Amino acid sequence: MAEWTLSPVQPGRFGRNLPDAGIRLRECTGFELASVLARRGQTSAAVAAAHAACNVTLPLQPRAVSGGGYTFVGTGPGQWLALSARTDVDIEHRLAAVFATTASVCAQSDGRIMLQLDGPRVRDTLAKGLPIDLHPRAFPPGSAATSSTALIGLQLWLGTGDWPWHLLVTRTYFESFWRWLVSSAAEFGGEIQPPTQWDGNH
Amino acid sequence: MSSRLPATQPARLAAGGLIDRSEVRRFEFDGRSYTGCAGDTLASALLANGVQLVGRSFKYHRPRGILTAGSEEPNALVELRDGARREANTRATCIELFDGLRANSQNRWPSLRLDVQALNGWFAPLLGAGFYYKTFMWPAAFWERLYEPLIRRAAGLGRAATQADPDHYEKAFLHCDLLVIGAGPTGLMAALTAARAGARVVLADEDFRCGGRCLAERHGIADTPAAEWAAKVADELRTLPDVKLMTRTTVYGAYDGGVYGAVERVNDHVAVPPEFEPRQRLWRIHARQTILAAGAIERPLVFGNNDLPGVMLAGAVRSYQNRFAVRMANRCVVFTDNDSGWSTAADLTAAGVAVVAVVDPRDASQLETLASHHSLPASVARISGTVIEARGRLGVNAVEVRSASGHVRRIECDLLAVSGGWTPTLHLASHLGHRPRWDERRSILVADSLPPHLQIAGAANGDFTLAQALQGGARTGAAAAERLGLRAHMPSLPETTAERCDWQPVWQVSGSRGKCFVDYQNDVTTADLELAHREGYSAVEHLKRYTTLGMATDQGKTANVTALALLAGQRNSVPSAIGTTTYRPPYTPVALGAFAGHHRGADFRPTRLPPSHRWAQEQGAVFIEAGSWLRAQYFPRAGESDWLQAVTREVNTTRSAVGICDVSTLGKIDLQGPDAAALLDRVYSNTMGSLAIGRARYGLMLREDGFMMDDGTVARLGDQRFLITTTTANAVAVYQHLHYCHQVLWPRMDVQFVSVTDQWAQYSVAGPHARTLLERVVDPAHDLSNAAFPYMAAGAITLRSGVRGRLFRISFSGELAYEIAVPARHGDALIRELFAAGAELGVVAYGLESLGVMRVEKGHVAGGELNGQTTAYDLGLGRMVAARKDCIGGTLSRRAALLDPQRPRLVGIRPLDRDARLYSGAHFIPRDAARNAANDHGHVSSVAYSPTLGHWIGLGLLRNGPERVGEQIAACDPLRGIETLVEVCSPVFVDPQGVRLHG
Repeated sequence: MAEWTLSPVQPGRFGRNLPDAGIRLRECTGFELASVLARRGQTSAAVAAAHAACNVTLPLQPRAVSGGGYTFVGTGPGQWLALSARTDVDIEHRLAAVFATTASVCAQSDGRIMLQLDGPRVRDTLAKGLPIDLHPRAFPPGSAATSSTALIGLQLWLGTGDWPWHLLVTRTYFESFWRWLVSSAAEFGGEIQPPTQWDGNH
Repeated sequence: MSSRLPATQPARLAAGGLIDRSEVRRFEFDGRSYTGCAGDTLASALLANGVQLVGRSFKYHRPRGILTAGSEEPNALVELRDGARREANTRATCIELFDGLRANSQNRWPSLRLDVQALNGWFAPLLGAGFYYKTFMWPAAFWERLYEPLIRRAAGLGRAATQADPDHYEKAFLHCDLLVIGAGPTGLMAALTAARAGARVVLADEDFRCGGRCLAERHGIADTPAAEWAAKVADELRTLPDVKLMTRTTVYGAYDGGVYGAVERVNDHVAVPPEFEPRQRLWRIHARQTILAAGAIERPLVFGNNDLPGVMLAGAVRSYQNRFAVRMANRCVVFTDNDSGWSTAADLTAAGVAVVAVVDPRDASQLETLASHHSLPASVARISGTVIEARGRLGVNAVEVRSASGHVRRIECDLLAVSGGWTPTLHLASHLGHRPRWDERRSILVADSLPPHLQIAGAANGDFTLAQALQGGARTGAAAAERLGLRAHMPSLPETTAERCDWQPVWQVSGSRGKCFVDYQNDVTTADLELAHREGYSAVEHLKRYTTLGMATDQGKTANVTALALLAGQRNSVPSAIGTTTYRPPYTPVALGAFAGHHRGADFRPTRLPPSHRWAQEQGAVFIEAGSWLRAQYFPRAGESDWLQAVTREVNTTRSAVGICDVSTLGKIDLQGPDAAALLDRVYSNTMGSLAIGRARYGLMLREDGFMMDDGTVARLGDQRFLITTTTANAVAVYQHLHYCHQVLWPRMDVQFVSVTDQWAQYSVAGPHARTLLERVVDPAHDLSNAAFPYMAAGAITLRSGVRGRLFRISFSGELAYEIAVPARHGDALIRELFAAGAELGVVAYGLESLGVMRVEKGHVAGGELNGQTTAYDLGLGRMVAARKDCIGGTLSRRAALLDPQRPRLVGIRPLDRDARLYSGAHFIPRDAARNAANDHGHVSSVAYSPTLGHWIGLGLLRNGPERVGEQIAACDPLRGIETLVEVCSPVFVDPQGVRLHG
């Protein structure tokens, strides 16, 4: 079956015509996503289970870590979002095997659309809606947040290297979110790049 | 008119000032062309062109000029721009001049120089405080037709634009260690000190240039003009990476938790904002520390005709001369009770303006000291006395001066510079309820108690000299850095010009002739204050409401303290005993567009689009907003003239063949964990723990008070896993409710849940051919027969395409129906596949209207019945509140009053005249009873035209309803003026035995 993507959004420049785009955007596809919620009193056990299976230490703060083919984003006490590249076995089954009775796992792969952002004006763009402090001192690489913009909930985290900004936006709100993002980025000059596949790193 | 050659700034000084004479700006005021320079405000450019008269006053239509050089301006309010960008009541003193600017004066007809309504002034004795309250009291019948239109026509200043604002606005968030409000000498020094220590600093100033009073005074700092020093500091601040220097930015409000509101006028200084840029940006600033360095506002003096154009604050005169290079007068008189007036006399003299006299009430020996300190030449007369009247028609041409000895003489002049001292700008320190205290010794308000993390420095702190400002800025900047855990060094303070700061307040000039204005903008005079006091309105808040003193765009910035002192005098008291009115945001007016930001038009609220949206658009669906969702309402086809024809076709086809509807909008929550079943048993009124895996059940949720909260289905996907659905409207509320129950009521329950509404695309496939259609889409390995997958079955499936999904045999329409769900990214493909597979079965798409029609035909309750006032018993669902287990709301739902058969309870209705239409909201009144509220027996909650029955049907809530089946009753709709006789019947109109459902 054909998948719904950002296809109506054509790659190319938008907003002010500057030599270099202040912000670049692209959709990231090919990922799977699940909520991992520790069972009562089982947070440490869930952390241990993930460490044993994926050699990764689940963050107990709003941070993102990668390991064993997964990226885990802390979203609350004993709560994470887990991402991986798409495989034949769906993420819910794979993670159920990892966490067994230490956590409940629920697939959310289709509940969110992922965007990656890059460029010198990403922070200025996001500041037009996100109430959190994104200054490098307050939000260094590895930081994550559950926040909202223009009355739309989202998760974001900051990785390293190119395309470090990752946003997960509720699917049904995506078009409204996109309108906000494009209008907020326009004065900095924006560029939409073709979709990319999730490569397992943040 | 604009064809006239522009005037050539006759009052512009040849040199000096912070304007760029090479950058000429053409503008129009009242249709006449002028020129100004880059760096001008509209006010300074008008003055440079010799324009003194700029407006008419609110009540008496008195001629008014420019009083101040800042945002406190009460008089010079103009309509700026035209067409869709026309903006009323814009302060000429704050409008940055741009090329092509057009402005018009307000509140005059037919012209500014000749205003008919100035006759109001003759009736002034009738228009005193409380005039409206007293005059328009009775007869009450006159109010709506006569008085209100009359008042409305006379009230208000300026005209708002009538077209939509073509510009866009933004809101943004800013976080900093230190927010410095005001970029005068104090603020610059504070920001520099903290920034050098490594703090993240935001420095905001409402002006378009940093420097504050440094720009207006002829002071020197460290051997350079103060304005140059300010520019140098600003330059250094701009080079520091963690400093944000924001000009054209007014911090307008202080809020809890170190949050400040600010509005940045990004593009108010150009005719049209550049493409992609906002006109204004509203900032929400989160600051760990704040320094208020907002300076002070000069006060006018209260004497006769003190509102005449040409009467201007002494500090403003210096601003216009020193900063804007305007030759302010030919002959000037200064009237002052403090050093400010003497400074002005000195500055004017230095610029070659003839200062005829300085009038100061202090004794003659003091005046000599002042004159020598300010190096005034002997040609400037020093008069110990007061100005009792300003004279002239449209501008000052003389003043009447009374000397200490009582001798009155007239002095001709074309400018009267006045100063009644300075009022520290404490608004932001008071927005959180901290009232300033009256300092009797200095006759100023001071901030005694402060909000947390706020310091005040400079003139805002009553430290009026430049040396004090620099010192206070450095001290508070260093203190803020220390509080932030940074090591700060007190900078060495530069040398400054020596200053005196001394005054002896004169609140009101006794023996004045003519009206003595206290509040210029609202035309409030000393006589109004006296009248209000005589009539008992002598509490400060009462006085404000009764006289309107301190209201409107300037909020009495130049008037309030004087009024306070006058009120104290009337009460034979002192200002400290009077208190102040409440300071509230915003400090200066903020455009509503800035508060709306991105959220206007289609972006007022975000819109949720269900997975079939694109497909439905292609089908030509008509959409309707349902909460935040945009849902297909119906799918019209060529030849159908109205919605009813489309809906009738959709319902008939669904009931006779098969129809498909997107139900993805229903809330969906996935619950897991050992206690998931136990939690559901407590939040649903009926039993869920006994539900078998692979089965679904209809469930009711009650509020704690026993009333209905929501309904939906519960499907058991595994031993410890459930999927529940909510109504579209209550999806968020139910999710919050579950979190409340789990986190607050039963935190020991081991259950985890998460919303999966966005994860799944879910379609209802309903009608006799539903199974046939699904068999063409679902992997044939799944047996969908009635025996293998009966009514209320639920389970995982695989589609022929290989996509894994879920299938539920659930029906809202009353037909053989399924809901098929796939991960949302496949939703668009699935809807197309379903229609391809169903084409030869005659499949039809149906929307929200048909969904509603079919549920009314089946007597299913929805929003009209789940209105927060009904119980399960009322809706005929009483048996679903299990008696053998406890649940939220269970016990309270069994209160005797809630089981009273006389409660309005669910019934069906049909019109006796089958051609009659029914209306929701109509009231049930016994057929022969009087049509009044006493005979109200309930109301019609939902109606629909039933294509199946061929007439209108309805659901209603009727007292003793189920016992009255067969009774004929009137449905009265006084709003529409319609009354229909209906027969009470069962709420289930179609297939009451449920044969189709189980087919």
